[in-house]
Amino acid sequence: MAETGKKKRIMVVDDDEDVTDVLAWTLVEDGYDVTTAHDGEGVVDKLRSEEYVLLIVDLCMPRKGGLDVIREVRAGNLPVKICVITGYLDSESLSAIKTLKADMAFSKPFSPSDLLRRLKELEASSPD
Amino acid sequence: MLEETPLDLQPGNAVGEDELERLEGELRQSQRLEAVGQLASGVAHEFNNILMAIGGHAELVAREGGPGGNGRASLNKIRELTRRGAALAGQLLAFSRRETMELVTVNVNTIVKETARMLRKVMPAQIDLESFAAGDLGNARVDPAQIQQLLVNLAVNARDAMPRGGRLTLETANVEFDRDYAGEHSGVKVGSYVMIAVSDTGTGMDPRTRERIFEPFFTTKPAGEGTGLGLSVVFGIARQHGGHVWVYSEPGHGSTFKVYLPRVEAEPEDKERQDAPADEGLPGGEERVLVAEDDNSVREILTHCLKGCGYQVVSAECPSRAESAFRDDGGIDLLVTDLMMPERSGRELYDRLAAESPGLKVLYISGYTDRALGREGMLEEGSAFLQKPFSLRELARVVREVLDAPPVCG
Repeated sequence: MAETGKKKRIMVVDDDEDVTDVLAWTLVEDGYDVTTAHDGEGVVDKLRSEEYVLLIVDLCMPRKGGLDVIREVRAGNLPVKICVITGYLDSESLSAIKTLKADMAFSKPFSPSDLLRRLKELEASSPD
Repeated sequence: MLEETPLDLQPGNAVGEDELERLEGELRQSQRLEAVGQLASGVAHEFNNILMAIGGHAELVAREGGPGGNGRASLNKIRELTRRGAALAGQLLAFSRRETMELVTVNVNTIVKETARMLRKVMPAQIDLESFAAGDLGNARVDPAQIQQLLVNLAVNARDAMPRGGRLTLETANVEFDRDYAGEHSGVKVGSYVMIAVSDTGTGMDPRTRERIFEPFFTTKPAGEGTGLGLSVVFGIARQHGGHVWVYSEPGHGSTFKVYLPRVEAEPEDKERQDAPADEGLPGGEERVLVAEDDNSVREILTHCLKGCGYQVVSAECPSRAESAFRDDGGIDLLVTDLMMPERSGRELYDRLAAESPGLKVLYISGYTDRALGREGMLEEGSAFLQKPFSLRELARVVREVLDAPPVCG
């Protein structure tokens, strides 16, 4: 479980509700406060207005995709860690992920427990 | 896909007709391969999402140590997700159309009229549906079920383009394509065609959208509201019948899809279909029907259709809401219920309601076959059952039969 006191916030963005649901359920079980969104519109504003420790974002979404969101997060120097998730990785997306320095990336299907484990490692290696 | 790229031929470079045909064939083939590639990536994306969610929920159940508490909710999610996977497989089959076509020579007007009648029952009230059938329309050799599916897909597309209502028009006409026309339009062969046009007064499309609409998994609809396969299926069906589809659309000025099917000289052979009285309504009644179905679109269609048949309909998206609605109403004659729902099965729902009201009748619906459900013990032998997908005519007929059947004793 995450530390008691104020819960850490995680934003999960994926156009597939089943994916946001299962990630949210897993993270909530682990003590995080989770916000979900189904496309990239408005996500960066939300990240600016509240403190989030992690942004989990799908690459391919209608209206505004994950790469555009990450570019804005990086341009705005927001302190949130970024986890890219994707159901179909092509070489173009892969090089964009590298250039934009995502903190972690998972190709679907992946185990939400693996994501949690990586998140704990990340939190341990970069304390607040 | 609509405007195929013109061949870049230098002036003075003589190219024979055969050569040109071969090059065009190669171009079409490369475009087909592109579509297959797009399909593969779309399917991979969809299936990976489904597998991801199934795996994640399985982990949650394992963490809970069994199907108690939230574990039960996860198991229900897994069951829903497998249905989503099965539905995707069904759409892929419709796209690839590997199954044999059942071709019959028909007057296409009969299919258009029948489809228009069905659509009138299910279209939102703010959409007016008009149908204009050419009196002298020629015949075509088609699989009527596939042409009906093509029309329904176009109508659904039109409905979604008119969120604030509008007019949906179906019309038919005979069309001749001469050598000049075929020369200017790639993929079109000289000959006589039957044309079906489906027009809407909706939002219309810009050129970029128009060029991509037949690509598998291309969708402009919000997440979760479209698979992006509907118009690909339209394209596939038209092509498989030796026909083609053209679309005319401008932003703000609606869209018209024209489907051309090769005309044949033979007389209609499907006598039963031709002889069906054009304006025969669906069987109906005034009884009170409770619809329990967790899939929003299926529930809406069932409700619209049954209301259109004169029934008084109450609907619920889950068994617990269905139970409250049943008690609040107090006079339900028939329960139409999906068998697989969250919380509890349609059969459990009926058993609970019938314990309170023994005269209650039931019609089960499911995407599974009655045989498979019988094997799983989900369906009692002799229960009234409709397997999805079913036609609205079939639904209206079976509902009437169930209501007219003598009550089951014991």
